[in-house]
Amino acid sequence: MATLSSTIPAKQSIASQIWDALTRPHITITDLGERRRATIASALLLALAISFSVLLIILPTLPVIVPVALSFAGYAISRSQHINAGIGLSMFAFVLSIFWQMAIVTDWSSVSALGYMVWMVVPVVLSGLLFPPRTTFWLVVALITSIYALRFVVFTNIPAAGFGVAGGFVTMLSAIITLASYLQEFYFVRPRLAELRKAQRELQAKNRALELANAEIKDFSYMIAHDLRSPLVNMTEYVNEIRYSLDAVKPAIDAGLPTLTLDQRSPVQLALQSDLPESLGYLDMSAKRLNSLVGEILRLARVGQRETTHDTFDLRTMINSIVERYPHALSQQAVTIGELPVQVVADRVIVEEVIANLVDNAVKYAQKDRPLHLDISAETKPDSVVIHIKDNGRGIPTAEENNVFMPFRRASNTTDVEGTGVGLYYVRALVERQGGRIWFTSQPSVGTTFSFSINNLTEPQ
Amino acid sequence: MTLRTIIIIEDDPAHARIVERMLSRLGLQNPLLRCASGNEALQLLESLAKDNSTNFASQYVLLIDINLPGLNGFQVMEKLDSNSVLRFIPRIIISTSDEPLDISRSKDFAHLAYLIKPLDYARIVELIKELDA
Repeated sequence: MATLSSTIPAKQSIASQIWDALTRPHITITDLGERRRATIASALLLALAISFSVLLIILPTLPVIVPVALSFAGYAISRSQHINAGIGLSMFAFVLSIFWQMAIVTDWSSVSALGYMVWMVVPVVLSGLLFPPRTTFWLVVALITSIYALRFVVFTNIPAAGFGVAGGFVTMLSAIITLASYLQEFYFVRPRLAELRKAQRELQAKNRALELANAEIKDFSYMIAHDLRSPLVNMTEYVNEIRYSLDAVKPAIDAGLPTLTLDQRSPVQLALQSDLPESLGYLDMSAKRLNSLVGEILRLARVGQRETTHDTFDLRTMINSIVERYPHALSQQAVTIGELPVQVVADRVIVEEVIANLVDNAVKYAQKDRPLHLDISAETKPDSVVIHIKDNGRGIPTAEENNVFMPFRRASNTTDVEGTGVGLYYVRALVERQGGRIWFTSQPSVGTTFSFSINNLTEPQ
Repeated sequence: MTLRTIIIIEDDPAHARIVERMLSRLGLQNPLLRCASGNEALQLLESLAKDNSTNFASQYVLLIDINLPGLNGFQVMEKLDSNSVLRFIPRIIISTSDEPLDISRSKDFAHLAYLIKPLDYARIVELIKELDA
């Protein structure tokens, strides 16, 4: 019961397939429908069997029909307010059937009355205890019909009685099918349904919690976007203001400098010419860096909030348009595009963002002493497309491979290029957002291949 | 010809001050009023509108920040839109947010531009000069 769906291996022996069919949990709607159909089929079989019996052994079937009719009436009455009357009538029908049958039996030495009773009574009582009335009713019908048919063959030697036997067995079979369906329902389907409902409730609760958390993240990122950015923007702007004011006072100070002594002059010159511009430069740089980090955090926060879409698009057009953004770094000869699926159904914005980021990385971290070459290809799998982007760049130092997808981490051989260290973390978040996976192989100073999968939602042709 | 008054609706005094400085430095001579909240701006505009009703909208231009205490910039614009006189005052939205949600929401309101801070002051000057021309 651990898994709700089990996958069947491609090749199996017939025996194991039958075993699978018998033991596999039937919990889907279809299976419940099949079970209902099986019950209807067994009821039809039963009707057929009864009509056989009635047609072929008209008169002697009275001992069957009367108790069964009485038992049925008793069952119907027991469903109404007069439960006791109904049960009483059923009990009477039951006893009547036993005595009627015994009275008909002419040769008491052949069929032991005690064995006869045990054979009939025990399963009926047991089933009455274990199963709903309907099953007991079928069981009574089945037992009486089969025993009667058997008795008919044994004591009359009439060939037509064979039909009675067959009818009895068919009745028995239908009763067993009904019984099995109830067994299945009571001991298998219902507990599983309860389990499923419980799991569903838990899932709904988790979903609600997730929605709440998502809303909180949304509020949080909104707060970052507005409240955290405003002071940063002010810092950048006031740095410019100070620069402007400095420029404004500079001529006056320059003019006044010669009137100062040498001792007074040098700190003023130092402050004006190097310390103040340097401080402002660092202040400006720090504010801008903080601002871009805030931007990256925002970008990450948006990934989780995004509702993924299903778009149909052409990968080749998309890749070409990305490559065209780098007319200098990526000439036509610098990019090889291999075989690509004609159409992909996935979130277009996410796929484009991922490819664009990976291409951008390849351009940024190209090996300086050789021209960059990109090799973009795709593998089409039954339900996914794997895209490989291979470069001949500087590679990722082997010792740092584990940090590649970590946020705010940058490889030691990338210090000459500006960056926040969020890029690949962001890319991974995007890939995972639409159910894919990303990985890479790299050789320092030889190149890196990034590969990612996208769930292709195209219907198989 | 009189220059229209710029009303800047901005709760952050540091930012409002820099806008003032930059606009005058870039040669804009329009009078400038500052409101620290949306409510303040609405009260001010309503009282101004009582006194003169002809060509009222052509005497002002609004610089509206989105992130405001109390009514936010969008709500201020909603209120303006519900007023038959104030709705015609041209608006320039100024915001720190490049959130797609904010940008798409701003499209529900008539405005000259949605500018993200740090602001492109030359563009503001250009827009206001065009209005006054």
